[in-house]
Amino acid sequence: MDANPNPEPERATVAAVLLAAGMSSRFAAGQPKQLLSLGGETLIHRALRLVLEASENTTEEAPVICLVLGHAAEEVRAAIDDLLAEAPRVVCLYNTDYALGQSTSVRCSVKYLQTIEGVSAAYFLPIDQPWMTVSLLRRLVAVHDRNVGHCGGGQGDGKIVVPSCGGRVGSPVLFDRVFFPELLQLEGDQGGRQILRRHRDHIHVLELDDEAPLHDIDTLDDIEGLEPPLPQS
Amino acid sequence: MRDLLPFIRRWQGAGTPVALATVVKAWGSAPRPIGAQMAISRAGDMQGSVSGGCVEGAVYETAQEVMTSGRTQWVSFGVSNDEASAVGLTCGGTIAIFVEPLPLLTEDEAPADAPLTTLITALDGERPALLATVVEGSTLGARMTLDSSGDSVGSLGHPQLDSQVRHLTAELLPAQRSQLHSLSFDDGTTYQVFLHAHPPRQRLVVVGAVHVAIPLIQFAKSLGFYTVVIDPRTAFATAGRFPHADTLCTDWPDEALRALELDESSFVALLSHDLKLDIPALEVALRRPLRYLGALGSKKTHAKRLAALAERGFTADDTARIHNPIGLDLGGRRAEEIAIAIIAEMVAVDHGRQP
Repeated sequence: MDANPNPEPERATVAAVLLAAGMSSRFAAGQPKQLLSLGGETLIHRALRLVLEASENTTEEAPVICLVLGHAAEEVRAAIDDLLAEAPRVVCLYNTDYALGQSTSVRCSVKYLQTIEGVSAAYFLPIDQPWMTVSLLRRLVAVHDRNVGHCGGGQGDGKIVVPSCGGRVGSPVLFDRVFFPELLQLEGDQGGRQILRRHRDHIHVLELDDEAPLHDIDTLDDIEGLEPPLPQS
Repeated sequence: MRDLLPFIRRWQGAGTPVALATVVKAWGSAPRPIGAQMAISRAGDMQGSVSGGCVEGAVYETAQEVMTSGRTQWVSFGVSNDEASAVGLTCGGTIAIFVEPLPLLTEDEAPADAPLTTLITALDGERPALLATVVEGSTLGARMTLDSSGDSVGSLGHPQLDSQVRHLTAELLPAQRSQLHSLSFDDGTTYQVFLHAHPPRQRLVVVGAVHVAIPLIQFAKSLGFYTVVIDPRTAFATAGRFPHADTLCTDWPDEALRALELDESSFVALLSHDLKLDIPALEVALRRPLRYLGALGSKKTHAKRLAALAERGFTADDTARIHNPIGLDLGGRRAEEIAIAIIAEMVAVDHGRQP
């Protein structure tokens, strides 16, 4: 429930959270996955650039974008210096517990977002989905903003927006603010899947024709053939 | 739907339009679960309930509008809704209700709606089925009925939507769960679909058409069970003694139970305390995944049963499932009191309590 006593309609802001703290334990040793270069651009650079592009020209006055760093934080940050210089509104959060799993990064970002007024929801994007598209990120936010498929809804009836292809759900998942307390309860390598199971009738599914944006890079094999080819930026 | 159908048919048979209200979303401490339904006739009759009395009046008014316009409507009630203060959902929960005009479902008319007809056939045959209805989107009101084998009748008007619903049904129907599903596609279309699971009724199978069985079948029937009485003694298993039994069977218990294809929603009560009937019944029942298995009889009788079962290769683990003494210990000795003890134990087991 929103306790805002202000009678004026509140400007809703959907925060973007980039999960870039992980150690990528399944990935070949050597360099952090975040710094893997595809088509001349590192994964972290590409992900942040897409998020920045997606937040341009929106109705939001000040988009909230968080970058959660952990493993090799300084190197990773250095790889996006150019973007950060142009986009001072990106907030870097440092998760010192990153080795304990992705939930620590989610908790780290949600704790921060809870302190920001006007954040009505957040989506969480791992940096290892290089085929992600700006249009998917925009649709995700648009579904939340426009209250699409919200008939019969009332206050306290927050929404979760999940991209999916052929019945397989992927990232990023958008959570309404009412689910922030539950995100703070996640532990270890738990993702938000169990929250999805608990709130099935709050989920809006974005069904995609093309699975590529949801495809993540888990091993070096995934990028060997580079199928589908990375879109040119 | 099952309980409302006789009323809907009667009203429609008299030429009266009927609307159906369904709880498609409920959160907080909502008084009735998702899928709860109420039928409303043009003439002012109501049957069923969507809130336990709090908002039925407002839903009735909406239903009248729906029958006039022929167009579906949403109503929602909850703490933050303006209407809530007007009508008052005292429990503090929030519910969303979908109200739709119903096509003719009378038996003697040609079927007006193939998916609904298919659903009713499945209900009558005690087979699981799921009815999907578009409650928001360009194909508002479109219906599709699916069964557990994945067969479907009707279409929701979007090929990808149909295939998504097929996918979800495979998950929801075995779990007997209903759900509102909201989704949008790359082509820009957006839908909300209510997936309403209609499991077959839970079954109570009583072996031994004895005195206690008469009130037990009556109580079970009022709880919504499909009731079966088995007793090869034809003088016992008569319709005169068991007016509430859905099926009376005078075959031997093993044969009769095998034919019933007992499953996880089946309850079996052995009441004859006659080993001639009990042992063949238990030989079949112990091999099925039942919800409940109880056997009437003293400790002495039960010891004899266990010994006979051990001879037939059943282990102590197998037979530990048998509730004996049967029923909760309520102290009563009259047939009706024992029947209440048994039905109370069934309810407890059904809800995961271990008496």
